[in-house]
Amino acid sequence: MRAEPSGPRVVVLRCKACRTELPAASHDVAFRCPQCGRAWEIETGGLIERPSYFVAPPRAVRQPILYLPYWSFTIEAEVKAAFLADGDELGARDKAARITRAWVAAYSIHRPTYVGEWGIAYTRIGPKWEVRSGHGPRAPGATISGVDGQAIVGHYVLGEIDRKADVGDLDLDLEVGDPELWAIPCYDFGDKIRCPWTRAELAASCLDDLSEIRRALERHGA
Amino acid sequence: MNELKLYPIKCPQCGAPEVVRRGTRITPCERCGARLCLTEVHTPRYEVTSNLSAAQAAAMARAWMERQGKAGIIGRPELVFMPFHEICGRRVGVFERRVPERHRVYKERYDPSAGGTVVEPTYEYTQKEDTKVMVADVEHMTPAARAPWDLAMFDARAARRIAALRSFDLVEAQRRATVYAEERSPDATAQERFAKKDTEIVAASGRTLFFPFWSIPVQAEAGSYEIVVDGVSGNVIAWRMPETFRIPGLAWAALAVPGALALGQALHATLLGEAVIDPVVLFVVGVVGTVTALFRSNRPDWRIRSWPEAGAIPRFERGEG
Repeated sequence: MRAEPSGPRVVVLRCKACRTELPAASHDVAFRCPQCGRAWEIETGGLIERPSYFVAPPRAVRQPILYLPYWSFTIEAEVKAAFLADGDELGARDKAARITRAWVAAYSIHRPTYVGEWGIAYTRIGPKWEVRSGHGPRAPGATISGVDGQAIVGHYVLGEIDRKADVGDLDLDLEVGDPELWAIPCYDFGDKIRCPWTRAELAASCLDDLSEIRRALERHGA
Repeated sequence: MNELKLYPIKCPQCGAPEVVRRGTRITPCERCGARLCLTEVHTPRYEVTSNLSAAQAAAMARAWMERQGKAGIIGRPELVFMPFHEICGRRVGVFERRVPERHRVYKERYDPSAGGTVVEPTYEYTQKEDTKVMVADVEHMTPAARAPWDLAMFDARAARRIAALRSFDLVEAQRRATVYAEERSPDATAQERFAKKDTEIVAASGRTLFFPFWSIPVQAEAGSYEIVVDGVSGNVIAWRMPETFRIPGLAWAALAVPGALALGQALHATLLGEAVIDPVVLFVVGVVGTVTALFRSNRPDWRIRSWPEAGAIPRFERGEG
């Protein structure tokens, strides 16, 4: 048993703006301040601020609402000269022009592409949400960093365009914006959660940190 | 690598000194209560909890020996912790591939019975170049140390699903078990396993899980051997034991008699020239018989056999298909 001479960098988990303690589970890397709604991400230099938004819940709420974190990015995708049949080319251009924003789930899901990642569905359908900023609901922290989210979401967009035309044949110019931390509501049924817009469901067992998320939210609610 | 490393840190808010254990990420300050987060963290380590006691493991081994028709005195089971790396994440990338395609084409053929050409459908097979955008889950579990037994029959992923985890305390674990050290870091494992040209792993998280095994010594007539029981499920995953040969050494020694006779007959035929059988054939038969008899009769009537045997279980190797 020995102590290392040089320790790691230590960051106090407090909102830099309002000094409120940030709710952080053991694997969280980004947080939404429960008081002022600002988002902070841990990087090697300390806490850096990210744009923070939340989605208003559906008007007719029948079940308890649970907010989950997502990384959201502005997308600029442009298909230039292509050597495809006209139909494919138009389809790919249309698809690329339609995607202006993409999302990736920032909470821990066990085998996300197998059980269903709602970020892909949101990127595909581009829901018309009522987006707000500032003080809002309490939301758990993100376990995926913004940089990782950026890499994943770029491939989500490529995959969507690839469904219309082979991206290998396209001269594609894709720009993914800076990460924004969003809190998006879902219905909490206890043993499963349900998306109010797509009606997709996820078993609670697929969410690695769901029990920790609920505990943290209940603690703050009390 | 297996030492319990402690890191001295200082609370940035109140300046109080703290000591945190390796793998800790978020810890409260004991003086001011602020939540502190360490930006550089080592891989967290967990112990897979075992509900199987030493007596239960010995009973499992005894039941297995009875089923196998083996006899021996079961010794004191020893708990062994073997490290595994669990690496999760998402593999993303864009890569080229060839997709087989089948096209239906119609060909004209002259049909003498119809007195003219007929059109018949047939298929043409081609390969189309395609680009695949990949976003796939990665879940990998691999041993992080060389075990004294083959772990091929141990399903670590199944054991992981049914067992609970708790934080690994090396000092406490070493009091009750033999703990094998990690021979490499999870990063090195991930690099070796997933480093491919077209894809990369993002949102990766690595953990070291210490799985429990019961190593049970068994004393038999031929010697001592070992049965290894999985500490989670209670299954026998490996054994090393003596196995008796069907043909004893004395039977092989009897082969030396016809071998010597054949050699003598060959010598006789060569010297006197009265050959009934070709002397070369006799010589070869004599040498083979004598050498085989001497070789096989001079070994013990049993050998140490281990299970799973090397190569008995096909394994997927990277780069093959």
